[in-house]
Amino acid sequence: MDQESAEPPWPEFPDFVASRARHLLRTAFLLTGGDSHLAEDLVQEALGRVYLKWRKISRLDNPSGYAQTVLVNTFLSYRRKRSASERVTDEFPEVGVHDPDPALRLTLLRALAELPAPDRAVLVLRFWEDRSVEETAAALRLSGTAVRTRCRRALARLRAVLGDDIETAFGGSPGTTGEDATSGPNPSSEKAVLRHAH
Amino acid sequence: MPTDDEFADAFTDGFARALRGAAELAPEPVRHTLAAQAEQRGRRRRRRRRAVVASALAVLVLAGAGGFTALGGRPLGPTGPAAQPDPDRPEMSTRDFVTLITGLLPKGTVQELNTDGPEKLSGHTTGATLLFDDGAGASIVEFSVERTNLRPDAGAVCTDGFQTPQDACDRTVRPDGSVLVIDKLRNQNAKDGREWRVTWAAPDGRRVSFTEYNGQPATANRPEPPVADSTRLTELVTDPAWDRVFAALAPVKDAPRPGDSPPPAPAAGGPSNAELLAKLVPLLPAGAEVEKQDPGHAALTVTYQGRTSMLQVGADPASERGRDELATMDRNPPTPLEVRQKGADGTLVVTNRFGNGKSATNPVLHWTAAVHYPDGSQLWLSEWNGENQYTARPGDPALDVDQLKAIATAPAWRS
Repeated sequence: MDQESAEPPWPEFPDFVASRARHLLRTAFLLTGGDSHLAEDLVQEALGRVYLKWRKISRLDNPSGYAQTVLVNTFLSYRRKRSASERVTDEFPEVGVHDPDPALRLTLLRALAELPAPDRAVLVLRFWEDRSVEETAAALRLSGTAVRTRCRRALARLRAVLGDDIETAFGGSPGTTGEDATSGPNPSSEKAVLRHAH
Repeated sequence: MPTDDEFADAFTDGFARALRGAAELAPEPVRHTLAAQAEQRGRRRRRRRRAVVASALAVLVLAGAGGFTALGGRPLGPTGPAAQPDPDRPEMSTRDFVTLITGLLPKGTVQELNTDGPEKLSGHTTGATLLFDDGAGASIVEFSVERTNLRPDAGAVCTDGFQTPQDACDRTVRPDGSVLVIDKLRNQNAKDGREWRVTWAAPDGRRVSFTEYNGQPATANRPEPPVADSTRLTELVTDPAWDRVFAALAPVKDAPRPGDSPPPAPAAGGPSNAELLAKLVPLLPAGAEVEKQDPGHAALTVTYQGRTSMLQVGADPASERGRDELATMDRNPPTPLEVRQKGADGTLVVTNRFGNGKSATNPVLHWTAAVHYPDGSQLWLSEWNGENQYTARPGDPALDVDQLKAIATAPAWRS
């Protein structure tokens, strides 16, 4: 019996989309190496999958995390239909007055696009989504060892392409933990979106 | 055993920051379209799945009329069951709809960005996204036409300027009881990006929305969106031509009726913002000065020892969700500067410091303290250096996390 045969109202679904769309689209944009068209397709496809199971998903502790995982798996299973000519444009938008190196962003997207899709997914989950190795492994249905291996390999490739640029742009800020009040705001912090933890 | 820290070095720190910068190049989501198209895709998937089952059973049920026409959108507010096709309702094709909205725009060229809809309008809502070029720069514009169950006071509202950068918002109640809102927003991620939202909401639940950008949402190419004149914007969403579109959309069962009195406000689930602020102020350290209070957001500006920050307080009543959150807290590893302290009675006190993202710490931009009680109720305090929710500057805040913790755990909150 099809539990979903009735058309349910689910009025909260548009609200969920409204609250998560921006982040999902950014994740998809990174996953696709900067292909905005494909990113939008992926988000719509992923949200379509979420919509199908929304009755159950809406009761989960973390529907947003579930949607992110659906998005990543949609990306990995996606067979690209578009032509290469529709990749990210060279026209580079002005996005911030404190941007240390706008060109670096484009270089980064291109470098991401050249990585194998699973490696890209690992990096995006680890360094954009802030997921742990274990969480990344669970989302991608890989072992922790496989995630570490892919992460190490992908970082090595990016380091070869971007290493000097990253160092120059960000001054080789030391480590990922600890407060460094002397380094001043980074461009993202100037445009921070509040994510109050409570 | 290796840990996550094996990857932490100057390169990965810079890479993570560069990744966040690159993400800002993503297009802005056109939310209405995303939600509506997600529903359509979901339903298509469901139909494909049913088709496979039907084929396997060799039952020809797919050719029947009725089951495959419900591609139209749904009202965005709470609603009842989906609309049924009505043979008496005038039909309007998607092509006619696009022609209509194209005719309402100023002179220029139009490219459809969203044509993934039904051939004929159905359901309670429809819309389209176009790339419109009047010769001064191609811009994305979006139309939405809906039958809703919302009264004008809820159907047309200004965006909260505390949460979203806003240049202006004009709200006008018209003689017929309809409400018109012209909301001029700034994109907090794209420099010079503008997003103008114009909404007209009628007393019977009809609503027309027009959203325009000054270029692509993440890429401004002109100072203002293409339709800049308020009179022209008003004409755009109140044009009599929309009557034809509404006639083709299914009515909403619980649509408001003009002249109805507003429903009673729902009972509050906890203390009001004003009550929270009244409790907060006396708990501030001696010598702290409150410069201004914002009861609308349960926030105040506090200066202590020469440092000024914004402090926001929130309280959630006891709930199953709160109890679940407390019970499952251990499954989530703490973020780098998070400190959790569990009391003998099961109360959990959490302080945290983080930057642009819950794991980011360089620089720290947010200071928080939260108390999770065993009954699921919560009290939280959030502090940052800024004037609103989209501004957060580094630098020592007025109160440190220990002071926040002392305030959050004060017995006064439980009385």
